[in-house]
Amino acid sequence: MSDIPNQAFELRDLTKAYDGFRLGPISFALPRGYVMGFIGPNGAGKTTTLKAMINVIHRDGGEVKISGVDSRVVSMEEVGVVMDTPMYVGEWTIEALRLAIKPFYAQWDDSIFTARLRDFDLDPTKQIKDLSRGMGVKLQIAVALSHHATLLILDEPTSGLDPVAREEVGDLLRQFVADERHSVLFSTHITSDLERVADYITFILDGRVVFSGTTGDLMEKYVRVAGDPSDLSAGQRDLVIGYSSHPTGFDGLLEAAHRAELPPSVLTEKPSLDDIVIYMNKGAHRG
Amino acid sequence: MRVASGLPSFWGPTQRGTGGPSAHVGLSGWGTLTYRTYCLYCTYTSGPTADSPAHRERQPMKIVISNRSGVAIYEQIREQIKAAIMTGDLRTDEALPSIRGLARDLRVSVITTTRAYADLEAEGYITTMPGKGCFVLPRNEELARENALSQIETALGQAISVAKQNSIGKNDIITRIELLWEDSDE
Repeated sequence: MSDIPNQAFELRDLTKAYDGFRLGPISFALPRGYVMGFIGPNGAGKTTTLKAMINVIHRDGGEVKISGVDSRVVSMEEVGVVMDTPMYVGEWTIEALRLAIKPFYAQWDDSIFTARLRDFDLDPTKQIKDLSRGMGVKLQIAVALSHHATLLILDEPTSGLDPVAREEVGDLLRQFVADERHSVLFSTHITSDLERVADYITFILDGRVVFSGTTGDLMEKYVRVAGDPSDLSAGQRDLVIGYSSHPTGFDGLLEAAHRAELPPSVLTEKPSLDDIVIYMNKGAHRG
Repeated sequence: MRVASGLPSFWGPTQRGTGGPSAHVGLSGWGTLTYRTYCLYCTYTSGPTADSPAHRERQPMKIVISNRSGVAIYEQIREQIKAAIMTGDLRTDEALPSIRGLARDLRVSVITTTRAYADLEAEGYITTMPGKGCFVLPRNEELARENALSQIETALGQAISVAKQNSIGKNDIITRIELLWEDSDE
């Protein structure tokens, strides 16, 4: 048996309330060595959750464990954080940043940092405020790698990036988990990034976990349905999540287990991850 | 671990798909992620792989992943490795790429490659040695024969349905098969 906990992180009944918004209680966990995508529409509570995990904001209740240790006491060397914009002073150059943060990390490795800057085409004399969105993400990843983080937490790392840069970030994450001790949690609203990369998906809506499990299980749990509205009884219609009808037909999402309850004339197909997010969101906010 | 020259070496930047003449990784249309190919032999060869003897001597086996075929990615991986074992492209006792290395190189999730390997193991094609990796098991002749027969049945089934649609009789087909069989012997 290894003494490394096999949970990369675990959230239990995490809550946080703001005026007009209530997160949780939410619970989910990620086994070590995998990538988890964290999805949900804007305002669902993704960033709040991530910030509570890394103690940028105080949680009202619940537990967050990283590698089995309470996140408030765990060594932050373990965790690499990539936020929307780098949480560094904009006027600093990358070189000044290196000197400033190095003392905080016992395991800091200058040679890794230099090598990654070179790989990522980042000029150490550049000021942080002058970095593009993609370069900011890469800089934060370089920092995380240099202090030997085992868990990367990224907030929307691919938003605002073009497809080529998005693919590069995806490659970096896959490269990172080629080491089985490493894990990744990243939030995104670009679900096309996820269908292939993410081993696990956690989907939240209005501050609640709707689904947390493997990507395959999520994709197999639902089917997209479409057809003629007059084929459905009222009871059957209620089974359809995010039901919407228009003059030429209806469409929506259905739990695959309910397929036999709808007439065979209804078309069913594999949903995309986008379908699932859109219909579930529509279903949650209907009437 | 070193991968084929067309892929970035560790953390490499952006020279994907532009490797030299011996790059075995053809990233066709990688911008749109239509499909990609990946040379199996490079993954477990140490040193500069493009020049490795194993690579030069042999027809590299490739895994080609389609995003649009509708076939699950783990099934595509499983079937292609199976085919390589059946044809002898992958030999008995040969090491397969590591689950995580293959996931990274094919750009799929670790669970996807894990599932493909688990299926191959359950079907008796490969074995896992803890701490060492996955290896090709001796070819099971009975299994190979059954596999071949099922392929033949599928192909003949297609031929029969074409024949029936066009009112061509059974004897005509049998004659055709005999002719083609003799032709291929020459």
